[in-house]
Amino acid sequence: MPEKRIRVLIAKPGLDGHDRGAKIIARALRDAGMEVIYTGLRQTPEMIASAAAQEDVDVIGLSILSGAHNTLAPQLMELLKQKAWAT
Amino acid sequence: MTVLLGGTIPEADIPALKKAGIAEIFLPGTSTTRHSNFVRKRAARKTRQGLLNNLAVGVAQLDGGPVRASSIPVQSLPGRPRKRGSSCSGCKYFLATVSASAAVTAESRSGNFRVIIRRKIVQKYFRENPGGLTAGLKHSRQRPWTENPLPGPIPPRSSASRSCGGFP
Repeated sequence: MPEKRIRVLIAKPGLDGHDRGAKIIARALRDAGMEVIYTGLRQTPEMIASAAAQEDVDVIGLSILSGAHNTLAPQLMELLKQKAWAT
Repeated sequence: MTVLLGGTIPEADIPALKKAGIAEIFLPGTSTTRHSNFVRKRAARKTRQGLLNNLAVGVAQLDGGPVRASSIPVQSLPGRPRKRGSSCSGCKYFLATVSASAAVTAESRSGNFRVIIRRKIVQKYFRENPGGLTAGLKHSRQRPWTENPLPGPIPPRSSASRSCGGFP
């Protein structure tokens, strides 16, 4: 059986438009042999949680440069916890 | 799911974010190798955890008190139902055992794992659900659990079975 590839969702929550770092990380993880999905800019925590569920990812990577991390990250964690996906 | 965070995060905010459940925070200047190593390590751990959780879910509907714990070899175990019909290669070959009250204990030894099953509960489950644990799951490439039925009760250990067959 082939080794399962790790699936990663790279997500950009919030309103900042700086996704070069997220793209670099996406590429680095892809080069490391993982399957990477990038959500694109300006996602809400709800969108990220639903994308993560649909893509059945193992890991979510958030990139936040707007300073809103104290709001957005706990919001996403709360959504994941509600669906019992958080580990 | 493991959640990682990167960006311009003040160090003072890190403890609160970790408390919220973020697994790791990567500040500017982190090497990309560190990311991929972290993800790989973390995902391996998570896969194991997920399988255990699923087992617990599969058997959690059953009731019954604790029975003598014993380990049962199982060839493949159901993972999450996957939307994309991808194979679940994380479940190849382990010793698996399940517990009813979701109190699954697991230890990882050189890539294999071992959980504790309460045997009677599992047997009861299989009597009531002949389709096996995979009955409701879409696992196209996976062989159903029932292919490898649970063994019967453990025969009592006799001195004969322990002997090495006539070797002096």
